[in-house]
Amino acid sequence: MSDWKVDPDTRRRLLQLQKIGANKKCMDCGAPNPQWATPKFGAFICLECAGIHRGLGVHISFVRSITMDQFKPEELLRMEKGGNEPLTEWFKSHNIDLSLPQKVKYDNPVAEDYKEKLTCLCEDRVFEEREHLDFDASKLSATSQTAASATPGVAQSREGTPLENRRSATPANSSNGANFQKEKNEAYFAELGKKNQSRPDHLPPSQGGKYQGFGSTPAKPPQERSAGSSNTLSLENFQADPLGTLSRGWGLFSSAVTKSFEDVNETVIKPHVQQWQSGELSEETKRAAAQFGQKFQETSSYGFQAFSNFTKNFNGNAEDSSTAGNTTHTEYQKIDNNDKKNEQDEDKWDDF
Amino acid sequence: GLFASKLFSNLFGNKEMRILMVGLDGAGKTTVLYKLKLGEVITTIPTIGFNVETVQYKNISFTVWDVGGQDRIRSLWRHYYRNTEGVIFVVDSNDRSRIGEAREVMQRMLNEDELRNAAWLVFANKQDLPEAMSAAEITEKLGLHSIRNRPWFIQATCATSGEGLYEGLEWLSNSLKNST
Repeated sequence: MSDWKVDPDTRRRLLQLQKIGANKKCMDCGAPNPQWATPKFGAFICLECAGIHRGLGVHISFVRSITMDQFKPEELLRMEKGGNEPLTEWFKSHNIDLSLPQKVKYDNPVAEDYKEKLTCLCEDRVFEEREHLDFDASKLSATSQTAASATPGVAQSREGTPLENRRSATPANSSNGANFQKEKNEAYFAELGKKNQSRPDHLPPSQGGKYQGFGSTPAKPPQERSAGSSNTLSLENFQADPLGTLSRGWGLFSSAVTKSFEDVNETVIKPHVQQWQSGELSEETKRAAAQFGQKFQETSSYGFQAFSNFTKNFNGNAEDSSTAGNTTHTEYQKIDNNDKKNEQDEDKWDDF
Repeated sequence: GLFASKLFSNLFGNKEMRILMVGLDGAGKTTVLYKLKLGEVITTIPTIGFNVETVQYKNISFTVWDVGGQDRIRSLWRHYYRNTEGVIFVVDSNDRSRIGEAREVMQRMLNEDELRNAAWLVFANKQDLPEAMSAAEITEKLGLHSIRNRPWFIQATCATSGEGLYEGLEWLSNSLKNST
């Protein structure tokens, strides 16, 4: 999913536009430096107001982030041809109170006309303003419902309580509160579910019909299926295509062997050869290696001594052999002890 | 302590389910999350980053991750894929102009290896709006019928009123029972 990118030229252009005149403040609340936009109205808005605009539905306002969303060319054009100032002028000249809530301000015939006007401007068409005889802007109020947004039958608000306020009011941290919430929610949603069951099937929910749900569950669990497909040497496959399965199976086997040999070569042999060859070994490592070499020589010389002593023994010099044999024996023990000590140290590291 | 309490709750039939909730920006993901959590509608702002809440339903504890849907932050979704047992894909049923984009985004996620075993729940949200596409229309436009390797379900919802939400959770909890 790496190809979700924002064209840098578009973003730069938007950031430039946002620094011009009235675009420097949120269209709705006047907050400085708005980072969001409603291209349908060609206006810049702040994060909080963006949240409200999104709740109006995309048929009224569609929200984009000027830094995180890719604007379509026509959306960018609307921002260029529009802006906060012409929209403000339009609302003022049509007696729309700018302090009205967004739900009222943007969902009425005057606002609808502005979108059309902006479209005409972008497409080089002449805009002809329509008459709205049944609409009186001065009667709009914070609580009024316009003809366009009033839905018969379902009269419910799409607005809610701000999250911050809501959060401070609930004792969400206490487990008692959580249990209470769980019971309250279950009762509430059970009631909703019951109501939904009694709604008619043939109507859409917006007209009082049922909120439908349907789906599908595969007969075989997906895990078994994927296991079956990766296993080429299955009985099922063999019965269906004996020769093919065998040769495929052999191919798989031989490729696995080659692969593992390559793996060993890649991961075990090559790195070590490289290490010995590279001059990047630290002085300490070199010293350790030299010591190891010395020890190895010592040990092998003991071995040689032992061997030669043994051959001497064999040659019949019994007294000589027993003393010589004893010394070598103790030397070996010493080395053996050292090894054990090392092992113990390693164990300690494992525990650590 | 954590392990002990988990074991304890499992003995009493309590289960946990990790849910990832995705969808285009403005589909209603955050509104769904807080309606489920609080039983109330809150005024949301665009999610930059994520919200996470646990929602108790019957004996299942859903951990719901709600991630921001803006174009540029969709590439972050993949960081939430691991151990996800269920995906809720939220669609704005009222947004006809972007249903194709929603399909593209969803089909891409269906091909993600880390999500191959995740149950797939689609919320056809904003059904209260008069021009909303029906669940059947959205099923067709998203290409849900082409899903063969996993259980899927589509539910018409209205997050602001809460309708349809628990029907969706009910289906998720059943799919969890069937898979274990």
